Amino acid sequence: MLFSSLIFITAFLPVVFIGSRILRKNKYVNVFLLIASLFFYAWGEPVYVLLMLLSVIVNYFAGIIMDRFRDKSKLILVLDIIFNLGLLGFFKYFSYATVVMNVYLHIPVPTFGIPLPIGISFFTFQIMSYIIDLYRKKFPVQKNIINLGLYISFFPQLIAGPIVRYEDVNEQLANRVVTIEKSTEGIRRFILGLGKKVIIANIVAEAADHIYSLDPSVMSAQTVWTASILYTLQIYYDFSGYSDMAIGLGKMFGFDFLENFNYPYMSKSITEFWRRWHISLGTWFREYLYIPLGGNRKGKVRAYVNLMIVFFLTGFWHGAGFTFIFWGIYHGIFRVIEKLGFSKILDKCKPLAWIYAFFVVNLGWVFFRVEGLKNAFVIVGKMFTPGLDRYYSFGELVSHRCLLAMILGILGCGLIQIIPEKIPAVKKAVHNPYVQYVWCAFVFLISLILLASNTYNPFIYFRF
Amino acid sequence: MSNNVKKLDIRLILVHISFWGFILGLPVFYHFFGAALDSANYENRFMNEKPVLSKETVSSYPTLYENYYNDNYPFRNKMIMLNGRFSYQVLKEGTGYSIVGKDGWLFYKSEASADGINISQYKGRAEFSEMELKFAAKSLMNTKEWCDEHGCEFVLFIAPNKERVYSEYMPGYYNSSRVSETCNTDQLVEYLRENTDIRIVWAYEDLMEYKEDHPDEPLYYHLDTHWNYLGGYIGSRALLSELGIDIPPAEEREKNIRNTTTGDLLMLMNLGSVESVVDVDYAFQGYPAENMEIVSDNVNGALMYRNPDGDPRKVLIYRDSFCNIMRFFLGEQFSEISMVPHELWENDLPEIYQPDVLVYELTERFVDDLVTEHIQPY
Repeated sequence: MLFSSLIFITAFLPVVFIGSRILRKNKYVNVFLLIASLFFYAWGEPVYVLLMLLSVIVNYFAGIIMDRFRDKSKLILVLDIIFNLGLLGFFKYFSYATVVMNVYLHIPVPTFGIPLPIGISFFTFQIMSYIIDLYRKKFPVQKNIINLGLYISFFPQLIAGPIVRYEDVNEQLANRVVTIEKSTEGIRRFILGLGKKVIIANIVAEAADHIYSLDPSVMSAQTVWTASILYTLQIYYDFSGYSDMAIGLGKMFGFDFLENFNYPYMSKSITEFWRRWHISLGTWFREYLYIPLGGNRKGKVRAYVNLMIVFFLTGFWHGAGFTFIFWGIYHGIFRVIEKLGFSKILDKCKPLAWIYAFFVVNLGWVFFRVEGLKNAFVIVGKMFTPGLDRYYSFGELVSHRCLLAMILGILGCGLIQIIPEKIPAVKKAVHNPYVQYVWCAFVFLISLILLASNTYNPFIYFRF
Repeated sequence: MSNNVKKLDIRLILVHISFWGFILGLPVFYHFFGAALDSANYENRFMNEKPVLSKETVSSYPTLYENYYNDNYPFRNKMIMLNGRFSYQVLKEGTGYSIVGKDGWLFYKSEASADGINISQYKGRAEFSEMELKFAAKSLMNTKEWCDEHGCEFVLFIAPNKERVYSEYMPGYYNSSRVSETCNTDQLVEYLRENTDIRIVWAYEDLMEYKEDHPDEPLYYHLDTHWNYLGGYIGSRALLSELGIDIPPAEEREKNIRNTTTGDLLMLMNLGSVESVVDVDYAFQGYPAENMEIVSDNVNGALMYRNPDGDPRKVLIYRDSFCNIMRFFLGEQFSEISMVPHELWENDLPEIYQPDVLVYELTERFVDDLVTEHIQPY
C-alpha cells in the first residue's frame, strides 16, 4: 500500500487514526498500531509479512538474551547481525550475485529470482540500530514485544524510512502524547509530502521514465540532460515527499521522527550534500560503521579509507547492481577530494561551489537511474557530445504539465524558501494559519484529483 | 484556559474536522447524490468488480481490491474530467494518448499506447529496411497467390493517418524533429507498385486531391482519430474505383452538415464533450440505401450487408475501425459484403466464405504489421 494511494488516504488512514484516538492509552494504541502496521505490510507483501514477524521475534529474543547474558553480549550481537544481514543479503543480493557469478566470473551456478520484500533495507537497518545500541547499553532492553514490534514495523517509516534509531523513539513508544497541535502539524506535513510526491515527483517521473526507456541511439545531448534534470527532481521530491508523509504520519500518532532532508540541492559541496540528503542513512552509517572503523581518529589516510568503505556500502545498500556501487564510490571520491583541500577552494566562491555540487550530484543520478554501467557511461557520454540527431524535441518529451512541475520543483528545492527569510511580510503571510490552511486544502484537493486521474486506464477500442 | 489558547484549539479542531470530515464525508455524499452526476464510462473497458477473498486469491486480493476501490472511488469520473479539462483548456495539451494540436485539432499518440507508430511516421522516422520490404511484399504476394488459386481478387487498402492529412495542425514541437514528410508507408507503396502486381489503394492520394480543391471541408474529425463520412466516402470511392465500380464524386453528392462535440480522442481524456469545440461531419443523403439489407451492423464486430441489385461479387474485408465509416457506401454496391475486424479474423475465413474479392484494409499506422502478418489460410 502506498501513502500516495486513494485506499491509504481515504480508507486505511482514517480508520487507523480514529481507532487510535478512541483507544487513547498508549498500551492499547501500540497494539492497535502494530496490527495496523502488519496489515499495511501484508497488503503489499501477503507472504513476506511472516518474514517481518520472524524478524521481530528473533530480534526481540536476541535483545532479551543479550540483556540476560551480558558476558555473551558480543556473541549475541554478532549472531543477530549475521541473521539480519543474512536476511537482507539473501533477499536483496543473492539473485544478483548468481548473475554476476554466471555472467562475469563464468562460474555456472543456478539462477533464480527472489522477490524482494518491500522495505527490507530500511527495517533491517532499523533493527540493527536497536541491537547495536542495546549492546552499547544506551538504553534498557525493550521487554515489551509489542513495543519492539511497533518500532520495527510501524507503517509510517517501514517502507521508505526515515531510518529511525531506537534511542530516538524509545521514550515515545510508552510515553508519547498526541496533542492536537502535533496531530494537526502531522496532517499539514503529510499533505505537503503528498503534494511533493503526486504533483511534482510523479509528473516529472513520467517524462524521465519515458526518456530513459528510449534506445540510447535516439538520445541527443539535449535529451539526456533533460532526463537527468527530470530524474534529479524526481528522486528528491519522491523521497523527500515520502519522508515528509512519514514524519507527518508519525506526528499524527504522537511520534517525532528526525528530519531526513534539508534542501540538499542547495548544497555547496558533496560533504554538505550528505548532511542534507537522506540524513537518517548518513547518520546510521556514521554511527554504526564510520565511527567503529575509527572515523577520522586514526590518521588522514585511514579516514579516507573509512569514508570510501562507507560510500561503497552506501551505494551497495541502495541496490544490487554495479551502477549503485559505482554511484556510491563516485560520491566517496568527491568527499575525499574535498577533504584533501578542495573544500577550501569551494569556500572562496559560493556560486561556483553550488554549480560544482549540483553538477556532481546530477551526473551521479544518471548512474543511479540507468540500468547497466555500460549503458550509464554511454548516456553520460552523450551528455557531452554536441550535434547528435535530435530524434525527439524538448516539447515532445516534456509536456506543459511536466514543465510546470519542473519549474515548481526547481523553485521548491530551496530557492523559493529564501524569500520568506528575506522579506518579513512574506514570512508572516506564509506562517499565517489561514494561509497555511487554504494552501494545504488546495494541495490536498489537487493531489486527490491527480491520484484519481492516475487510475484512468482508457482504451481507444473497447477491450473485451 | 486563556482565550488565545481556546481560539487556537478551535482552529486546530476545525482542521481535523475538515480533513477527516472531507475524507469520510465524500463517500456518504456520493452515496446520496452521486447518481445525479455524470458517471459515464469513457474508458472502453469493464470496470473492476469487487474481488472475492478465497484461498486462491489471497496473494492477489490486495491488488484486485485496490483496483476495484480505485475504479469505484466517489467522484472519480468528475476528478478525471477536471484533470482532463485543465490539461485541454488551460495547458492546451492532451492527457495520456491524446495530442492537442492547433485550432482544436486532436491527434493520437499511438506509440504511447502500443497501438501503431503514427508519430514516428509523421516525423519521417519510420523506415523499412530492404529486407522488411521484401518480407512484406512476399507476405502480400502469398495472399494474392492464394486468391489467384481460388479465383478471387485481392486488394490492399491503406487509410492514411490523420496526422499526415492534417499535418498543418500538428503541434509545432513535432516539426523540429521531423526529418521527412514521407515514411515507411510511402516506401512500401512504391516498392509494391514497382516490384509486384498487387493492387493497392493508397487513399491518401484521393483525399489530398479533394482537400486541395475543398480546403474548408474537413475529411477527418477534429476530436477523433478517424476520418469522417466525407473522408470515408472518398476512401470508399477509391476502393470501388479499383474494383471497377464508379460512384459519383463527393462534391456531386447531397450531404448535410451535422455537428458533433465528441470523439475518441476527447474520450481518452475522459472529456465526453467540451462545449467550446464543435466538430463537423456530413450525412450523405440516401444512406443507408433502401435496397441494402443490413444483416449485421455491429461496429465492434462483423458487418454484413446485401444488395440483390448490386455487383454480383461477394466481398470479404479484413478491416479495422476506419471501415466503419465506409460500411454503407460499400454495402450498397455488392450482392454481399462482409467486413470482419482484425480481432475476430480467423485465417481460414476466406476458405469458408469463398469471396470473389478479398480486401486487406488497414490504417497507415499499422503498416509494419504487413511484414509478418498474413490473412489467408496457411
